Amino acid sequence: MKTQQAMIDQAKSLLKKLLEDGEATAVFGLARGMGGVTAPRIFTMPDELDSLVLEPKWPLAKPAMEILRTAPGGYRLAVVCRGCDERALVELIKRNQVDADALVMVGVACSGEQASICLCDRPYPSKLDIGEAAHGVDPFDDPGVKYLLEGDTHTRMGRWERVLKRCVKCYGCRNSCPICVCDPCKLEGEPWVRRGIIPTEILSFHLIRAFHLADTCVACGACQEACPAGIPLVTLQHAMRRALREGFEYEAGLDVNEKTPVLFDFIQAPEKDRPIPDWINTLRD
Amino acid sequence: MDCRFVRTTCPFCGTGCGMLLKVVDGRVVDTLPDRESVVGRGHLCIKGWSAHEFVHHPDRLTHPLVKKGDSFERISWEEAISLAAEKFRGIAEQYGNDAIGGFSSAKCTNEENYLFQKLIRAGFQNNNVDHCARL
Repeated sequence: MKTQQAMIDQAKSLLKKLLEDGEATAVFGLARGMGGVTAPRIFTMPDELDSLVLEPKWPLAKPAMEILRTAPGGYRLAVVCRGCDERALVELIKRNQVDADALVMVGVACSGEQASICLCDRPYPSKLDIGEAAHGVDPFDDPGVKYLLEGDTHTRMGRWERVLKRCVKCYGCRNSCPICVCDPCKLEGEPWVRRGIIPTEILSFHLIRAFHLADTCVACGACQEACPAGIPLVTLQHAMRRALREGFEYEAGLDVNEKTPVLFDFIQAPEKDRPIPDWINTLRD
Repeated sequence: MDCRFVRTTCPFCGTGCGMLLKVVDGRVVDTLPDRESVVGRGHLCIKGWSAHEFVHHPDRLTHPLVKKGDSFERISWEEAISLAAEKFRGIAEQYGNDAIGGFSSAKCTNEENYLFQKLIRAGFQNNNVDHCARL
């Protein structure tokens, strides 16, 4: 396992070369600034990269997309990508939100420790430039995930209601989600979400969001990390992602050319022997 | 394109969550929570998430206005401060010092609130000072 410093050094030389060779107009990553505090930064000169760091985890896909949206023609942005950043950007390319030609993804591996915090089953990008891939974690082994996804419908609904009623409707989940790009957003008005009501209606707020992202969520955890109420939002998506994996052998963010089965498989008749995923078995009770 | 993330503190309440303002070519265009902030720890409420919206808003007051008849007219800072001082002095002379009080704001910095209470206590000579967050 490479030390953190070795990874940073490798990233600096790789990214400096991208800027020097004109492969990228700018680099988007994290910098340690005044007082040793880390924040996202756009590096345009090779020397500026001396302040580059790779920790802590800071989801960069959405700000990267927004930078590219307002960038002038010919602008190419190199983005330091963790596995989840890469997968989010792949989904954004699929949905024509990011121009693949304007993007250079530089892949960085997450530590095993980070994978355990995120319950990430794939803590590395497909194009790994820096660091070594750590082992993933099966989110369904986590007691907190089990608590919310196991049991009969009534039990689970009760548990989810208790968790979701903590919502203060800050829209942090929507704002931080790299995939939440609908304009206008369904969560911003009638008839789905009433203004001035807190906590929000569970079905029309949280489940609209969950289903909007069902085939796109890459489980980066940005929503959950932004939630001031500590709602385990990714747990909703773990269930959706497992259903897609088991039902359609599909996983979001892996292949830019792979179409989502939600939009492209719906005319196929369901196979008789296709098993119903365990997590929806209780719908029959 | 010059784009930078500027660290600051949310102006909306006394909690003081850390946030980053995204500044593109000198204009504030977006807010991100500061994950390194020991106060907010990467969280913001809906006010914080929208904090950039008022900065360049066309309805924002950017200079003093005085009401003349039914409309407001622009005046200089010098005129505005002189006018306010004159009116406050008039009220104090006519009704006594206790007739004046002040409401400060949780959106102000500690230093601004210190100066404000000093204006009331040392200037107007009373303790009629409070703030908007005590609703």
